[in-house]
Amino acid sequence: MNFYLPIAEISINIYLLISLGVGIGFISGLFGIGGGFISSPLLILVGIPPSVAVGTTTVQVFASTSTGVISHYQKKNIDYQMGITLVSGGLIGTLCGVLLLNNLKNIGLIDNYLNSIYIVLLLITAIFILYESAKINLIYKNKKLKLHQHSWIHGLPLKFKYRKSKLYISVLAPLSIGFFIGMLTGLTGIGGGFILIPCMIYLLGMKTISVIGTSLFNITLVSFTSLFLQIYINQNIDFILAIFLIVSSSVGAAIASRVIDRFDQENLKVLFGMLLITIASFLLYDLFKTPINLYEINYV
Amino acid sequence: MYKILILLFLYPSLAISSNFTLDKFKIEINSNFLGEEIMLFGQKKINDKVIIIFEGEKKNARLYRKIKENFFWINKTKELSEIPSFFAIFSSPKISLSEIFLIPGITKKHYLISNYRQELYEIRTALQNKGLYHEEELENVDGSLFLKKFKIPDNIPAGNIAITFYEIEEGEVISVSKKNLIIEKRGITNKLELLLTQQSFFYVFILIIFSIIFSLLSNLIFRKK
Repeated sequence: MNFYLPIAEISINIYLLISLGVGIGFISGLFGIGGGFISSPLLILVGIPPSVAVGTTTVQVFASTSTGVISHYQKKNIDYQMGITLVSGGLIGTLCGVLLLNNLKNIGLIDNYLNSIYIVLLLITAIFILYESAKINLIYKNKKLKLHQHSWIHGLPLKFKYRKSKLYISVLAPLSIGFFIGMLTGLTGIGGGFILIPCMIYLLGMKTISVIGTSLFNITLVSFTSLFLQIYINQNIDFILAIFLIVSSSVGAAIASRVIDRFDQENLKVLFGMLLITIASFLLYDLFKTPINLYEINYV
Repeated sequence: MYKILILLFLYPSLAISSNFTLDKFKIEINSNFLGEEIMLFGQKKINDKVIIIFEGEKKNARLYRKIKENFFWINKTKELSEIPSFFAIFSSPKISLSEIFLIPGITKKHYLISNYRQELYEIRTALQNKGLYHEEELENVDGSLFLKKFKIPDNIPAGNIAITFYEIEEGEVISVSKKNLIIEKRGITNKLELLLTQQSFFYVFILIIFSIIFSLLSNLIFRKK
């Protein structure tokens, strides 16, 4: 059974779309991630135009983080000072990312650049996860890990006191991190939590308790802005595709939350790393393989 | 069965002249649109050649040519204007493109098949890869009757497709007749596109409301007890 996607202007098998959404939601729930960096490349792999995949993933990211941020607001787990600094950088970054996406689309290099970015992101994340997992299993099993050390970041000027996180650091550090994550959101549609959270813990030295809430606060506001920019600049959000993804990924995430206790967390991490490497391999193969069609036309 | 259909349709004009028609002149793109099969049928004088050209609305487009650079395949882009959104040539008996290039009565009116240029070849190939270009022979039913079934793909842009029927005698166009096939978006498909292009703010607003409602609902329904 196929369904016509009005903005992507293709019809897609409804069962494939639902399976994809449930799968993305399941993986997100199982590994505690937003899922944007998996859904975007997967949508491209099943034939959704890259620009529409990016725009529509932004909606999914917004939907999955917005309810989370409400819950963290109620628990008072958000560092608003840090959040606003991150968002300030993020907003400029998003604008740059969306404009860059539009430019890449116009010069016809969107497939190449997006695939390359996804490959790098997926491989870096996979290596990081596998390394962390190996470190915990093999080296530091019985040692307490030190989360934050003073580095060159703490020597930057324009220092500011972040009371909730008990940090006295330069605003340039969270601004730059926010800018980078915002740019990724605008360019690739991902929320960037999987990069933001390690940066907040290891680079800024934030306390774990407020990291998740603040990260969700940043991702929600940045993806919210990105939604408007994508619509105005790229007109690349498919309503029907977005709704299917939101509903099916919620079901997937719910299934994951019910079965997560049956899995060993460390084995899960290894599995996740392997999954990321598999997706990256498919995208890499796509860049190298001889295309079936040498000519392609798109109406403007 | 087709024969009966054709005879019934063409009965009033059987002895008069060459003619053609379609089984439908309007295609609606809605949420379950998977493309649509069209049946083209008609009659011609036994020894005459006929060419029927379907040409969609002309739009600006970008042509991407894949080239290999340092192991990677990248796109080289070219901006184009006045490119038809759909193009099909049906002929009886089979007339090749090289022969059509020699009929000025046709090439002057259809830029896409006007000459041998590499760029036009690339555009035709790119359209063919998307199912938007056909070049086929009409099936001959009974000497003077012909028919052809072909598919309008699901990626067809909305708009009018002009159908031109050419009767050819000794390499010259001796008569021309025209009809239109209308492709239009209907229902939710049309509404969403209009909303996106004309009321973008409202489109995002609805999307945000839907996103939050669906997320809250699914959290409520599926949350772990």
